[in-house]
Amino acid sequence: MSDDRPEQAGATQPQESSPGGTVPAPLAQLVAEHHAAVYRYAYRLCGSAADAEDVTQQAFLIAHEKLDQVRDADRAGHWLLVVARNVFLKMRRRRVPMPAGGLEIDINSVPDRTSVESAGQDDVDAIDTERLQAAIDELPDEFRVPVLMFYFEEASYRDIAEQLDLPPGTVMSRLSRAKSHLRNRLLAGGRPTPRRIDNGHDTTRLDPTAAKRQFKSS
Amino acid sequence: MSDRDLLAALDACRPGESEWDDPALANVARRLDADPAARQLRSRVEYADRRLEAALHAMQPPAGLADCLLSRLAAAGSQSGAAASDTPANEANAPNSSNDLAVEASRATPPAIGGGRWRRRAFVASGVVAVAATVMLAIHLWPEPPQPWTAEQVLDAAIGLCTRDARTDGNPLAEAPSDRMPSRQLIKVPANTQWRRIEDAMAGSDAIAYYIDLAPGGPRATLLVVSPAAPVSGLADYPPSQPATPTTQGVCAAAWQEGDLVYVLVVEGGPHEYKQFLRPPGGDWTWQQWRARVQG
Repeated sequence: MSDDRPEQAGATQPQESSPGGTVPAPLAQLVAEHHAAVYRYAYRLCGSAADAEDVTQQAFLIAHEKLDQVRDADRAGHWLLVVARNVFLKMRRRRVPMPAGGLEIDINSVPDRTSVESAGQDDVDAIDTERLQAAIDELPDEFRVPVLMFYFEEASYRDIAEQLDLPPGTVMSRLSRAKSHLRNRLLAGGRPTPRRIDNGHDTTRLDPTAAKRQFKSS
Repeated sequence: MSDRDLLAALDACRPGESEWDDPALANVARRLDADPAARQLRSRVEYADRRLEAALHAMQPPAGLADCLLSRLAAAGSQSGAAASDTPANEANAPNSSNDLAVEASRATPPAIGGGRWRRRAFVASGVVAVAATVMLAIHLWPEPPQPWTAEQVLDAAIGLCTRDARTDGNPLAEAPSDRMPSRQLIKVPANTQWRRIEDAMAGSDAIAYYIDLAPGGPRATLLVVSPAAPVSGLADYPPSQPATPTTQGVCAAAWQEGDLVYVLVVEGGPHEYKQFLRPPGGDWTWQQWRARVQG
């Protein structure tokens, strides 16, 4: 896995017209090919469309500044994801860390594949995208970033450890705890994470911050 | 190897990759070879991964995002070009072959501004820069309250410390700082235990490390006692009955807090070895009851 220094991809290129003016053709091509993937990653990290757009924009502005360093167009997509992640982490640097005592490695979270298949559920449609984002939002950043690096950047746990400067064992633990949480929340056959019920209302289902408070109190 | 440790390893490794060749995962690979249930668990984990990954990617960006990005990028290029035009005229007109966008933008900007106006702008700008620098310096020098630490961060720091810090000859237990003496009613600390101070160990504070050997050739652990400069949240006030981390790099760990002291027990081995260092209450005693008893 590479760091956020891009490979070189073509420096002097013709300009291309865009609605707001003129941008270099390679940059316009990067936007066309990768903006959706960068936005998806940013949205999953941030949990809000506005922040995701900011992160996406910042990532492409950095790409703009470093465009003359981009040589390998095949790796540009991955490089943009790393840039987006770094922009997100920079945004969150001053945030107070959140305890995550309620996140545990849970063997019962792994769904029984045969029962799901026999029920005839469609793999993707079975997971509601809003519930998915709510479950991600419940994860503290220390867990959210590694697990999204795993799924979006296709990073191995050793890559993640290197990139985030963490011991590999810590990354293994965080990946498994984060995945257990997502499986419990989302996948058929997984045991639901215990929810706190306030005044007869399931607060964690309605309000992700309530789930964070639940982790804090456990 | 416990099922919990197996699941942690399966969750960490990417399907189809050769991470099982990693010596640190040799026991996982052996279990997968020998145990059909472990292979079935791996299959289920990979299946769950595929479903989650597909769901994570199954969303579309807002319509018009690409056009919006292109507009902003073009505007950013224009601004950098405008900044170039604020430099003295002979530099502003010089072509910059290394940055096509700046060249393009500078062509689109108005002709160079007159010298007197430029000097007024420079004077105002230098004033703004001076004020900004003063404010930044004040912010930098203003003491920030220490950021709280999480239990995770404490465990990370302790494991990192213990895996880096080779045991060296320490001092006799009897000479350990009295305010950092481990509670021998909660943790087994033999009389021949050695200790030493580790500077700037975690949370901006030094730590006292106790190197505990229960018996020659038996289980070994390091107990770190820290009085952290920053508050730590999410810790129990007694030793957990199970380690808080899976067994990785050959160690597991747990942390707890007593008063303003944080204790981290890093044990060489897994939960079985960890439990040997606890003084578990007998019968139906809970840790809280045990603690009340030993303190009472």
